[in-house]
Amino acid sequence: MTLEALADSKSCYHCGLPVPPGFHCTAGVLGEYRLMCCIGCCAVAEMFEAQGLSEWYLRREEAMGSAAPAPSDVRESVEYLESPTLQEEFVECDDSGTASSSLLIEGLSCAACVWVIERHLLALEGVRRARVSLVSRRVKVEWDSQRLTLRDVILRLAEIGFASRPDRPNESLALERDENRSTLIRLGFAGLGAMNVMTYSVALYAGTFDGMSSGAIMLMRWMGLIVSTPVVLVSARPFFIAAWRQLKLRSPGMDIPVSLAIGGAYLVSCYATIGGVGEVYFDSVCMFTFFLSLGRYLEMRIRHRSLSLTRSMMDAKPLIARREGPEGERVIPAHALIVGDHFRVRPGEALPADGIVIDGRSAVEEALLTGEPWPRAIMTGDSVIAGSTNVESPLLVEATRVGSHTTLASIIALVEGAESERPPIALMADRVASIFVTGVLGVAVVNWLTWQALAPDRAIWTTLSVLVATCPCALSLATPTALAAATHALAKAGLVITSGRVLEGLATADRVIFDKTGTLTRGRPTVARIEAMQGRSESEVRRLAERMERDSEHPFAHAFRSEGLALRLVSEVGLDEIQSIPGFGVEGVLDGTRYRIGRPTWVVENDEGLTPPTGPESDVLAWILLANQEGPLAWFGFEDPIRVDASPAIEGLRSRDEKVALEMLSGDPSPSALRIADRLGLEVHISAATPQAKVERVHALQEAGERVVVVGDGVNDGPFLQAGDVSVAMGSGCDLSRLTADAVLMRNELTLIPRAMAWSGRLRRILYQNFAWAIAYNLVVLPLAVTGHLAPWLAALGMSTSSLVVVLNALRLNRLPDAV
Amino acid sequence: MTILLLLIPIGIGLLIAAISAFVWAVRSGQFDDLEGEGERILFDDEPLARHDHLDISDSWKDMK
Repeated sequence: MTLEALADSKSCYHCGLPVPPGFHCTAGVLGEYRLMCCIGCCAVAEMFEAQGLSEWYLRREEAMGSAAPAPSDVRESVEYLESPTLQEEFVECDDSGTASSSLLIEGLSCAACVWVIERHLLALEGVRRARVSLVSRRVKVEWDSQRLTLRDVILRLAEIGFASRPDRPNESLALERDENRSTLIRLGFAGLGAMNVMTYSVALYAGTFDGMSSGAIMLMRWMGLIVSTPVVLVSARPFFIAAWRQLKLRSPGMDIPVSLAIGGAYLVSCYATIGGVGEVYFDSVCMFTFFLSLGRYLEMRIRHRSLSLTRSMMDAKPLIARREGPEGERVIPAHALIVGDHFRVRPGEALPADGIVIDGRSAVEEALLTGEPWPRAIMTGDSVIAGSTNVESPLLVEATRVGSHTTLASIIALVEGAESERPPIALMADRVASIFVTGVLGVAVVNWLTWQALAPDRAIWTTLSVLVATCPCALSLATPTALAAATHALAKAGLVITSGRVLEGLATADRVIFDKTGTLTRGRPTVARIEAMQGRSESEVRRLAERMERDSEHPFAHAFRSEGLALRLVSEVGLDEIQSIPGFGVEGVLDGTRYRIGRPTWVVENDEGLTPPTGPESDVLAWILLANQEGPLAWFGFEDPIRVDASPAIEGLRSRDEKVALEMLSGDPSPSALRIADRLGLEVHISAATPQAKVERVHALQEAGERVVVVGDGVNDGPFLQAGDVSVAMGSGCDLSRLTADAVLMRNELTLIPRAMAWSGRLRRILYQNFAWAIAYNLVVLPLAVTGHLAPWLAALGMSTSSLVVVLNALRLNRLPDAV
Repeated sequence: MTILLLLIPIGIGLLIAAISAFVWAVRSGQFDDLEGEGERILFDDEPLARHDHLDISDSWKDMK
């Protein structure tokens, strides 16, 4: 939801969601009354005003995108934190009575949120420190344990609309953080050392032109040696280690010429210093180390960024379990469950382990694996998986697989394994590098031999300057800088790339295949038609339906709820004895009359051939019926609407490159699917395709030589998504697909696809430019080095200029233009 | 030229100081979150009005 869309008066000022018709709640924010969509958002906006935090509305980069949770919901959800074992688990307490904990925050979008969260927390008496880390989406809070509890802190955050969860220290997060720190330290060390060495080197350069006493020369050289030594030993070590590994495995890579250049230049310069002969290249040594470390640092940042996306999805695992034991129900951390334990799951909660249902009849929503929003009805004896949500009634489950053996955990492990592959562009750069390595070594050796024959005393110096001149600084920086800039620009726009092959694949795509449900359409049912009968008004039946579905977790109920949220405040139709019958509907009593809403055949038990209203070209997916004892009252028709930006996205793709084929491949057999494809202008080669047929289609296209981009949400279509050369998952898609896809559209903005394709084209051009530049530079400098005309100052100047050119060129990729 | 014998050690001393400061900054986590910290300098720092423990969460109890 962009900020421009907010200007449209029918959207909630706080979260950007549409304001339901008939709901009038405004909050005074920044001097004007603004529309709100529900009491949650209303309360939060008023809280901001009261606390002086309204500036958040000015600073934020986008609207929240999701309505603030109602305070009563949050209060219930933190009940479990009362347990002392859990307190121990999540809260650290030190001797001075200061408790600290790390909380994972949902809905943290930008720096303005950081500001609002910290200020709001610090304004609470008893909170000593609150520090938000945007990159890990956590807040570290310290408080006086006498005055506050963890629960208070979480509720305080909920007041301003942020749902939070306590967090266990995460190992991979710690490892990443350490890697980040040590790389940065090495980089800084090299940079500071290089600057210091330049002092002495510039003095020496001046001496070459103006003359310098030999004592001064000696002093400058020795100082250069003293400062370079730690730089080489500390910052350049990773290169030496990598080069050694590459030599042992006989796979040439960039690190070999790099190590030769740095190590060789350093050693020969030491020899020159001690022996008082020749030239010294200490400044080049340090600058090489600095530039190359910079390239490595950028590569690492890219890698970490894609890792953090994976981590954010894994954070969704349930934290607690309600174990049923001889002493009754006890709340324990989820990881403390063992096989054979019995645990209870309340409606709305996630299952902490794989298991078999012992008692209860309900439905579970397994969207994380299948993406299906429709819950699966289960009863005693059925098996269930960790991470799915219990939707209807309480369950008692016996655990069969726990902890790292659950289905969820094994999938995550698979994904993490795939993550550590290096992107193909980097692999290509390595191939270029290995050619380069052999070339350089060849030239150096030939140079040495030639000079030995002509004038042996110059051999070593010219060979050294050959190594210095051809050190692949620019080449080494060319790829990571461009990749980092492009990835960053796209991530900022909302397309997060987790695999290197995306950018190259997008640039050379021949065909884009779209899944329908959830991709081109929203994938969630919305109430599209209401047919009221027996003289009732639409709003009356709607209110009735909403009240009955209020506590159900079924997706149809959600459809009512998102639009009727506000009605909680407005109406209080007093329905008693609301009972939910899984798989069929909801039943309740009002003023003595029994009402039912749900499947038509269950709602009105005598089958009098009730038919739902049909209309011309109806896109309605499903009809449910509301009735009382006397007869049917209303039909509610649910639709799956097309996304607003589907059409502009297809247009954008077509206008960008007419040769790219655009296709829809859907498993939906209904005529509305074909209508959608027609409306959007997409080819349909197979209709009502089974998941298997979809995969086969992609493979057939690939065998014919086409490069296929697949866009989908992975609902029952995991293999289809994976089959494409590039897979783009919708942000609202199932968790598994988001984890395994090459790229994720975080805000489901389909219009990013043509933009990303244009940008990857740009990336390729800039990469070629960088490579061309780096090679051209080497070709110019090499003759100079071989003939002995490459003075140290010239080498240093040339190398830093070429690196700078490469980096600046790559930075042109840093901002994605707004136009499609 | 003898001034160099004073200046160079000072230079080295500054270098060591700079490196120590940098290493300390990195180790104390100041470089962990570049985006958030970068925006932090733009925040306003008016003195916070310290409220008593706001019982808004309790008063919402009535609104169910």
